[in-house]
Amino acid sequence: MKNKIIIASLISGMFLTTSCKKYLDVNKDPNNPTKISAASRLIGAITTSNGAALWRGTREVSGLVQYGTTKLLTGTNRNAEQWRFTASYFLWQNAYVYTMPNCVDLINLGEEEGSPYFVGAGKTLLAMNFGLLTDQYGAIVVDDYYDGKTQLNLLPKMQQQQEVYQRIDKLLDEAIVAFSSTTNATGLNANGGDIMFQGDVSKWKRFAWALKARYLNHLSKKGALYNPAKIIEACSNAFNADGMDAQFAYLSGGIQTDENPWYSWGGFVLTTTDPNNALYDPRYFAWSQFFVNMLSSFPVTNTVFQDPRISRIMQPAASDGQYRGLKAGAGLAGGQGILANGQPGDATKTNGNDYGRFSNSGFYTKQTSPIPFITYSEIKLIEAEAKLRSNDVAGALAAYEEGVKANMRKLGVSATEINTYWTAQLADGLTAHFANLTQGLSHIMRQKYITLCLNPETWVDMRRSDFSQAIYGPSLVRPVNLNTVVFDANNANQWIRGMVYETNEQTRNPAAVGDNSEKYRLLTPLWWDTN
Amino acid sequence: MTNYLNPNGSQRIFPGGNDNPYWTIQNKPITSGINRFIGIANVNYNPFSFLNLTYRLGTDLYTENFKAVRMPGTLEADALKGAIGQNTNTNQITTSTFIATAKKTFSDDYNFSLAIGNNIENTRVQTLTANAINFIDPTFPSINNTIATDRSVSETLNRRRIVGVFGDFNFDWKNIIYVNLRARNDWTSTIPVGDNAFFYPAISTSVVLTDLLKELKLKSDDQIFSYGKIRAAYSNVGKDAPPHVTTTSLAAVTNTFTINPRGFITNANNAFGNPQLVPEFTRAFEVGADLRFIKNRFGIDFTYYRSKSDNQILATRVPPSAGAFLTYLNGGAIQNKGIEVVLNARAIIKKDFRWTIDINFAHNKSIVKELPGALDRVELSDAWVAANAAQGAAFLNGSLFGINGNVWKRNAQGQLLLSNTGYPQVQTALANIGDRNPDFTSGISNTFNYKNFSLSFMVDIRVGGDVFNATENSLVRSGLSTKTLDRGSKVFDGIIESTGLPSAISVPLNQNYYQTIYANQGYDFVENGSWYRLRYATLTYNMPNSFLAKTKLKGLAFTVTGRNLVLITKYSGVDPEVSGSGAGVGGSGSFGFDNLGIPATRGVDMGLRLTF
Repeated sequence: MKNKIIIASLISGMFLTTSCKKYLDVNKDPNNPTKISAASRLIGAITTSNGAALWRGTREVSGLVQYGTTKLLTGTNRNAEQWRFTASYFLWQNAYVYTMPNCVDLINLGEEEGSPYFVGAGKTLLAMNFGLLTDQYGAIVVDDYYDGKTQLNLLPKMQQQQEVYQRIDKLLDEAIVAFSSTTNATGLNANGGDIMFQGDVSKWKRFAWALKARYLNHLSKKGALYNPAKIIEACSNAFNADGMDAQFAYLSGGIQTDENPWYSWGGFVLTTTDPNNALYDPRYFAWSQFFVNMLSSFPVTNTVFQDPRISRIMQPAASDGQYRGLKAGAGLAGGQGILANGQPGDATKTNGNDYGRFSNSGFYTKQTSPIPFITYSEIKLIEAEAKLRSNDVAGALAAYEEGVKANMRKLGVSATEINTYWTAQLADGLTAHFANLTQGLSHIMRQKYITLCLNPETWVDMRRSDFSQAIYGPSLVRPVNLNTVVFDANNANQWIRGMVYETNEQTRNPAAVGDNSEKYRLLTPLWWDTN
Repeated sequence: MTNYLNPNGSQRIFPGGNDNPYWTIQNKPITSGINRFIGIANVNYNPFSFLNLTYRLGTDLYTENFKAVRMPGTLEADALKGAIGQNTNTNQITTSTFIATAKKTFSDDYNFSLAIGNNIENTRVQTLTANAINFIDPTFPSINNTIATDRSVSETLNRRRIVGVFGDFNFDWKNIIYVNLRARNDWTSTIPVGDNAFFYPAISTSVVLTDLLKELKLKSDDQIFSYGKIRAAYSNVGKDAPPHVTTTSLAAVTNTFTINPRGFITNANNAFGNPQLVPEFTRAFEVGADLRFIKNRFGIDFTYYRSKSDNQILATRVPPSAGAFLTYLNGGAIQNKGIEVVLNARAIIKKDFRWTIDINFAHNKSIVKELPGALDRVELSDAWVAANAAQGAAFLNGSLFGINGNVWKRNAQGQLLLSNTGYPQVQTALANIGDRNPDFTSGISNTFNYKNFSLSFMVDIRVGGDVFNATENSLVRSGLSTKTLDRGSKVFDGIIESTGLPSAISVPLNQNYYQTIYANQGYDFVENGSWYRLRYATLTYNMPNSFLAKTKLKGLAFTVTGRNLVLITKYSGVDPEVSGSGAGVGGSGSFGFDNLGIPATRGVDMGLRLTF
């Protein structure tokens, strides 16, 4: 008996040592995968680049550049519009944490799997997110960012913006090379994940070229670094027809976060439908009068002419059928904003029904509206700018016409309406205006404002244009109820130039962030914004 | 507020946009329940007189069911048409222990024992979660009362397995000198292979002084120095990581303010995995003495200890530009030092009257010596209180139990930086505004026996240690706090930030100020949490034996106990002994946060004790 027990325990001891390794091999989470194929990761990299990074990069900026206006003068919704930005502005984490690890993983998986197309897609999206970040913050972390291979870097260092721009351009060049590869193991849409281009690599390549054009064009203040020829070359390789814009439709019939955030979960779910109810306080209440002006008057002359796109983007007031917008920062109580000719609007219009809604109003804020990354129309307008700046007036005009008309076609404007609009533009002196750089730029930038509706790229254009009224017309003024702790109430030319780094970065990586005071960050121009 | 319904049965809505608490009680029920099963099997066998073999197999299996309902009509934006969340949590911990113990005594004076054993622990926690929104019939709260696209389910499974072998060697000489040596090697499933085996030893010794003196013939009786023992111990204890944290998991869902990813993305809500984790170790040293005098009438037990944990496995907050919010890292060192003293005395021992008194005293100091990266604090964001005015946090070179809170914005000279309207502003970065760790705690119990009566009571003392009065903060926000009594006006002593000039603006101290400005800072709600309390007092009457002899009872006692009868404290809230979010909060928990919690109740119990 005794011997049997000893033998039994010896045997069980041996059994234990041999099977121990296997017994302990349970640290792999059975429910949550840690590694899946690139084909299954593409969709997440695209959706988060849109509904996390770009969305959070434009949620507040759309108020800052006066697309949307809020109703109440209390609460937090007004903060963006009145430039009350603090370290609690969260584009930073939405890009760096929620979005970009997916782009990096995509690059690594594509390399491992012998599928350079996924490498290209990862690099294109990563470059675009770096671009989104640097255009709001200036210096950002690029080199020390998550690489998907080693332990996270606890104290990432930042690159100055000029270096960041070199990294972006290099990433896009590498993406273009990857898209040109002749061998590729798995197609981009192998698992149905290419919701933008359905596996058409040539369109991805044009997307990368389009981003190259956009970022090269940002250097318009940088003298010799601004190279119109390279921009025009990039434009010629970028989108060249309708229907290839980098975008995807949001969904209906799914969960709420399948819907466009401007329609619901972005601050537009309300407990009441009465716009005059105190609880009716969406993130943005109505479109601004400034945007109404862009869509109802011509540049340079401020001639009143209703752009047919206004009815595709906005809804008229329920009270009298007029298109009307609020004054940035003034709330519903402030009444109609400044008109296209610089004259005050109708201050008595303080009823909620005097304004069409912002949310669910048209092309950009419906349930399934896309949030475009970059479009054919934008590319043509970039080309127009580059050509105008290199004195190719005829070329600039041709690109401008295509850029404007492409956007109109996209919004469903009929050929007849387009022609009527274009004839009126010409009659208003368009061709002559293009002979003058500022006037030509006024046309281009105002059309970009329309075509880039709700895209933070507009803030880049406004800074490159120094928020000039010669470009944007006399109705572009700073918001009322301005954040005067930071901004000088008496200096109408002092505008917002950058964003405050996020509090989490400030407290955990203080040496890299440096001076993060609102006064310093909001007022200090970024590298490309200085001459 | 009690009138919370409209005539049509819908919720009456008040400005502010929150659900009425009375409506909430009726329409947002939360239910939970636990079923538990514990099984233990034991085998004990002595093959030889000196050898004992023991095998024990035990399992603890319990299932928790939780359900939270929000009925249609709530003002919560994600549940306007009703929402239900339910989960089933199945926990099982199975332990298998085999111990072989050999004992031998040589020449009557030298006692040896050696135990060697194996221990296997298997923990499995499975959670099934189901959520749904938009009830089809608005009156029937059930997950079945929703359409398929409004439902979501998820599963988590956590598994941890540890296999250990250990040895425990004891030696004593005449029960006077004891030596204990222990060693253990663990293999864990939660650390990457290569580093997942770790060894840790311990040694302790004690000497019974009184017996030693007697043995050496230096002492003959126990009249004065009745008993004395000194002890010392050193140990090093290893610890593994939580399960499944060596790799970063993917998830197909995010949150309610980010796009539905439509596929797998990096799970940013969880801490990033780290394939380079190694076990953490805590080294501890302790010395103590137990001394008793005059036939054990007076005794003192004294302990000093210090420990240091190194390479702590922390879910560390990292800069977002690293690519995550949290990642598991080895880093951080915590030092713990303290003393404990227990005094007891049988002060009076007469035939009819006896008085015994016990006093214990404890002092502990926990200091964070190192943190990873540039971190100067480890925040516990699950312990936020007072609308994010303060949270628990451990500070580098400071307390493990600090308070991280909002403070007014000041310049380098310490002057308030005021807004253009002349009000103070909250600084973006939070500051260390308090230490919840007390200087010392003490308990004094007295028992008086007079004939058949016995009276005992305990006085509990806590000196030092801050409490964050989030309840007061909440009262300020609703205008019910005495801190909001001053409704005059004031020129804040500071400079206007935008101009740099001293403020001359007289600002009204109105509702807007108290609600939206004053209540957002934290330091004015930190209070000294010292207390003296009569924890309990019990009066007992024991029926005399003469009476019991007539019955079949062996004992009969009547008791009256009062609990928390007296509390002396300068703390302005109800009771400084509260915990903000219960024991479930991770890290240094939420003690010292008075967050609308319910303090220990005051009460009187009466009892009857029968012994057969």
